[in-house]
Amino acid sequence: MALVRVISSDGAAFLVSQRLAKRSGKLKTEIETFRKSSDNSEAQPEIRIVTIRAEILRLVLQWLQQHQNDPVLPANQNEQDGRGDAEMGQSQWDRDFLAPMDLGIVMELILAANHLEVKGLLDITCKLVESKITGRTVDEIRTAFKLKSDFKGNEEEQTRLENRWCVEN
Amino acid sequence: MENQAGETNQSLHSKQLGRKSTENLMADEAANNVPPLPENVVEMIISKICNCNILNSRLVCKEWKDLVARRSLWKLRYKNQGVNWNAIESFIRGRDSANNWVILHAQLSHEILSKNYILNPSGHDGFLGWTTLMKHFFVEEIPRRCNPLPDSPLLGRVDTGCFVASTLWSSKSYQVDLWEEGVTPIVANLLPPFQVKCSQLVASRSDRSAVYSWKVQLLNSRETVYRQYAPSKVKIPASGQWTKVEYAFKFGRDAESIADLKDLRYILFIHEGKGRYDDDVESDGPYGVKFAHVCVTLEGLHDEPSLESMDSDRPKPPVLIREA
Repeated sequence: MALVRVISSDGAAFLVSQRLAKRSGKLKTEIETFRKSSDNSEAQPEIRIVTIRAEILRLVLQWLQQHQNDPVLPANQNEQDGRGDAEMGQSQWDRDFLAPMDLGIVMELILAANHLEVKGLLDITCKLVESKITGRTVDEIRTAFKLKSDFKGNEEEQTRLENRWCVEN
Repeated sequence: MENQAGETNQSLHSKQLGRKSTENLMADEAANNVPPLPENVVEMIISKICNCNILNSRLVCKEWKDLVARRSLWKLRYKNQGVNWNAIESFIRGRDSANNWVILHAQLSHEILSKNYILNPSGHDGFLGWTTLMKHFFVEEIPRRCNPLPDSPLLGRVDTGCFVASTLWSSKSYQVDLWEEGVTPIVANLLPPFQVKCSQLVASRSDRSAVYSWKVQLLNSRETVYRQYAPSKVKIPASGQWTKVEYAFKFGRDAESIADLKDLRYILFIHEGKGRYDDDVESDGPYGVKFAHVCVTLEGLHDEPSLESMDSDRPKPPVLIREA
């Protein structure tokens, strides 16, 4: 079985099958690039992911392992025939997988899934964040995303009015 | 205490838990140093927010407000909710792109461009939604003494029944509150060019001639009629044939249309009629004209309608129709 070494930003190495790694769009590209540039077709690729630390990388690989037999979702999220949330059931395994994570970890996982192009994981983590902010006040959402209001003058009030007009007279 | 905590954990939507998780949100923030999420990810998260909370995201910051105005975000939202994007895309093509999201939102939460505003078009729900102005109407689950209704679905509904008037003049109306149906003035203002299309099927019994009339009125929020279509009464021979009658109020981008739309709140659909009376039947029995597939829809128009084709009935003063 062909293997690949994936190394996290903090130097931890994960040895995984290339078949599994290729379910990440990014790792797939990296493995192919390595192949082309390497004279020895038997050489084991080594891929350094400088933006993802070991704890998060382990979670991504764990998720990939669990979902290794799922159909690969198109990386392009605007793909017309891609499946929407309406048809995407979240498995119990996914729920248990995400349950112990705090929002900080989830955000890191989202960044990792986005960077490694793992559409399915990106989908469920975004959905989780959405569910955490749903029904929150605007201030709470800002806190969760570390955003500050950058509206000037009465722009926020104006936006609030526009919102009201959309649903009322 | 333990018991109380257990309950809190179970009731996911309870206020208490809401509070608790909010504190978690704050704690998370303090504990982690995560770089900001890239725009495509924020877009993906916002695309999953439910229709009733999406407007709130516009208040977070400028980036979020801009994202909510973006076509790509709405395309994702339509996909996520399994709603046909192509139809609405052809509607918004060539329109004021900065405000298209208002229409996209109204369509997603209220289906303003793909529904029949008459919820009970052929009596499957009895007279629900209808107001009887003059007696007597009946519902026939299978229309008697006439052809069956065409089985083409009307916006996804297949109705086989119909309303039937008696041999005495019978009249009823259906009032649509557009504001409640998601067509608020801000939405209406962005719709032109479009039309309010009104139609219904009419039939007589095969053994009895009938008379009917119909009218559709546009009313403002004070329930005053300011525009209406009221053709004169029509006699139909005993044939048992269904005929479709229709009319469209057209709204262009001209000043007059825009002013009209500012006032638009209710659509009142009235149909009335009777059947020929003979001694052999009860006068208040179901022997009169039949109505089915009553339909009011909003449809986009793409070419600016020319002045002549604009609502040719408009200059006429309102016609009052009375039973002779």
